[in-house]
Order: sequence, then C-alpha cells, then structure tokens
Amino acid sequence: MENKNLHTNNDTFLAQWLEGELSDTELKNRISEQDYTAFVKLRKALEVSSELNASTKDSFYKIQEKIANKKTPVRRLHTARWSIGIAASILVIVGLFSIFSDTTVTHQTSFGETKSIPLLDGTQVVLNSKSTISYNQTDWKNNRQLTLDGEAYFKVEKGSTFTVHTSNGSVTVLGTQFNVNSTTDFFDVVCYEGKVGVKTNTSEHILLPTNSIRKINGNSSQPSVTQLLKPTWIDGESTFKSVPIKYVIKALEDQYNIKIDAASIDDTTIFSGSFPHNNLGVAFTTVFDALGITYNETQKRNIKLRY
Amino acid sequence: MAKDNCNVCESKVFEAIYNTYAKDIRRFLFYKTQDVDKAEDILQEVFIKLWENCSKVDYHKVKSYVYSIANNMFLNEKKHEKVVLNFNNNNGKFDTNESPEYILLEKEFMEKLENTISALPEKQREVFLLNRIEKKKYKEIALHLDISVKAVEKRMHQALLVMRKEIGNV
Repeated sequence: MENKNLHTNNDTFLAQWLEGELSDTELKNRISEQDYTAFVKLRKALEVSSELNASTKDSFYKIQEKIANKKTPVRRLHTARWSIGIAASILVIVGLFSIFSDTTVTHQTSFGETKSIPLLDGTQVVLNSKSTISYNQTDWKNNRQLTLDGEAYFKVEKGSTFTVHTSNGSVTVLGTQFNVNSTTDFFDVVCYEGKVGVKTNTSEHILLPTNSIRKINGNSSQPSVTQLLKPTWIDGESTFKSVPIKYVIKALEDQYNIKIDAASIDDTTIFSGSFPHNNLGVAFTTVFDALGITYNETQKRNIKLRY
Repeated sequence: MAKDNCNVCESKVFEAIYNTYAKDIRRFLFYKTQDVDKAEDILQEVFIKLWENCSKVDYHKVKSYVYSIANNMFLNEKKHEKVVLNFNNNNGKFDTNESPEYILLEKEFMEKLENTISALPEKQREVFLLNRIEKKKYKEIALHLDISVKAVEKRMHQALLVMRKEIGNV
C-alpha cells in the first residue's frame, strides 16, 4: 500500500515539497510513480484553483480601462453628436459677439496723457488725460456716433450727423470743431466753429462759434463766450473760466497722477485761470497761490491743501 | 436579477452582471483553454463585447449571452492558434511549448478537489487555506497560530494525504 508507505516515512515531506523545499526528484525517489503523478497534478490544481478563486475586481478595472480607451461605437456616436453641437453653439456665440461687439473700438488715456485719434472719415479727436471714447468701427460711415467719458476735442469732417454721447447728455453737429468735457457731474461743451446742438436730460441748446455751455450737478449755468480758437489743453495747458475749484483739482489729479486732499478747503470756490501740463510746481503756484491756499506733500503723490 | 426593466448599458447593472458571472466564466474558460492567463484575457474581451452590445442584450438572457460569447471567443482563439501552428509547421519552426507531462485539469477533478478542501478537518483546513489562499509561509502560519513550524508542516502533509486519497488515482 502506497499510503502506508507514505505514513511510515517522515511525516512532513509533502508539506516541504509543496513549499519547494524538497525537489520533485527527491519526492519521486520517496514515493511510487503513481503517487508522484497524483501529487504533481494536485499541486497544479491547487495553484489553478487559487487563481480561479482570486478576486475578479482587478480584471473589472482593466475592462473599464479598455472600454474607456476603445470608446465603444455606441458611445462615440453620442459624444460626437454632443461635441458637434457644442462646437456649433460656440461658433454661433463667437459669431454673434463678433457682429455685435467685437468691432467696437475703444481708446483710453491715462494720467497726463493726450492722444490724437484720426477716425475713418477724417475726423480728428484729441483725448485729454483720463478719458475714454468708444465707437463702432463697421457702421461708422452711416452712423457717426461715439461715447465719451472725460474730455475730448473734436474736429469733425463735414458729412452726416456726428453725435457724441456722454452720461450727461449728447452733442450733435454736422461739421465743426468743439470740445466736450464730461465727467460724473460736470458737463462742459465749447463750440469753436460751425453749429453745435447740445441735448441734455433737461435742456436743449444750440451753440454758435465761441459759445459754450456748462452744467454742474445738473444745473446749467449761463452760456459764456470764449475767445480761443481751440481748447488750450491741446497745447499743454488747461484753462478754466469760473469753474468750482473741485473740478480744477480733479483736472490736476488726472493730469499729474496725484492725489489731492481738499477736505479742509472750500471746494466750491470759483476759479478762473489755467495751469500747464508739464510743470507741477508752476501748476500748483498758479492755481492755489491765487486763491491763498497752501499745499504740502504729505506722502509721495499725496498733497494736502489748507488755507 | 429579478428586477424588470434592467438596462445592461447602465454601468451599475453592468457591474452587477460582471460580479455575478465573472468567476464562473473565468472557470468555464479555464476548463476549455487549460490556461489561467488565457482565460483571464478572454474574460475581459467577453465583457468588453457585452458592453459594446449592451443595448441589444435582453437583461434576462444575459447569462446565456455571455456564455455564448465566451465560447465563441474561445473557438476563435483556437482557430487562430491553428493558423499560427500551421504557419510554424510550414516554416519548419514548429516548437511545442507543452511540457511532456501535460496535465489536464477537468472540471470534475477541480470540483472534487475543492469539495475535498472544504471538507478537510478544521485544523488542517485552516493551515491549508492560510498557505494556499493567503500565500503565507509555514513560519508565518506557525507564528500566527502560535504552534511550531513542524506542527504546521504535519498538518499540511496530512491535508495533502487526505486529498490524494479523495481524488483517487489519476
């Protein structure tokens, strides 16, 4: 009996053989041929069995990965349809934007900067410091309209109506030279040549050459007369005529990129005069000395005013 | 599985189907191929195919469907092997990888073996499973169970003897 034979010998050698501590040949020498064949098959079967019983989870991840890489035909159709839809709508949106907004041209100036902008029809626009204009380039020939925030001088070529929109009102001309200064609560239009129509929320005016109109805080003042042929700021000098000092201070700030603290002075004091754009010292002397206001620089670019 | 209106294309349903049948299919494929790695490969292909055709498969017939694919894929594999074999023969490069002592593991044999393992005496089974399933060395098992290595080896030896007796002569 083989079994008896197996028992009579050492009683751990099968365990050692299974673990690889005993070689096949050694086992073969100890037991019968038939037993040997049976145990070899048993060992193979045990290996396979543990592999067959192993978790299939890893394979599932591999399957998912392969599916993702393959992108099944069903999926592909769907995603393709989606992406075409998305691409189309992006195109449409971009197209709409380019029609409605992309041709709007904007020009901007920063502190102390003036900029001369020739428009398509030959009109000249000179932008004073801290000002912005924007207009629609494509439709310019038929529709001469632009939006202004700040101050600009216009030398308009003759043609269709030319309109300047500001937050304070609009200025309409046919062909002329005029200056518009519009900030939040200050609106000043001066006509130098031709005829200028000014329309605000509350009133309408026709300006003849040398006439000007000004609105401060929505109250229009008397039309006044200027002797100048064009605004002085074009030549590097800001000129004011009976303007509350606070707008002069604002102009100084925009021109020189400084901060002026006017808390301790009366900023409604009326000022007439001008200041140069290239010399801060002279500008301060001409504006504030005349009004008996002293000034000193508390910090860099911060100036405090007092009497 | 009793739920109606189950769509195979839903990834949760798909995963559930996989969890239900994957092991059985792998086994099924192993008995045919006698190769665990090949069975694993075909198993993956089977479920990829199921996913690709998920909309055409009735949930209630999914079991027979996956077995059919598995079988077909196995046959395709065999056909391909024959082509490779022929090619090698004609080119004079034929070289068999099969060892002379080729061992065929039939379904009946495997089932008998597995039943025997689960019927082992508790002490032998514990050691046996720790070694075969958890892949622990005898030393580790001895430490784990607080017995000598010799005792572990004795139990393994006994377990193998029991199995030898149960499966009979081959």
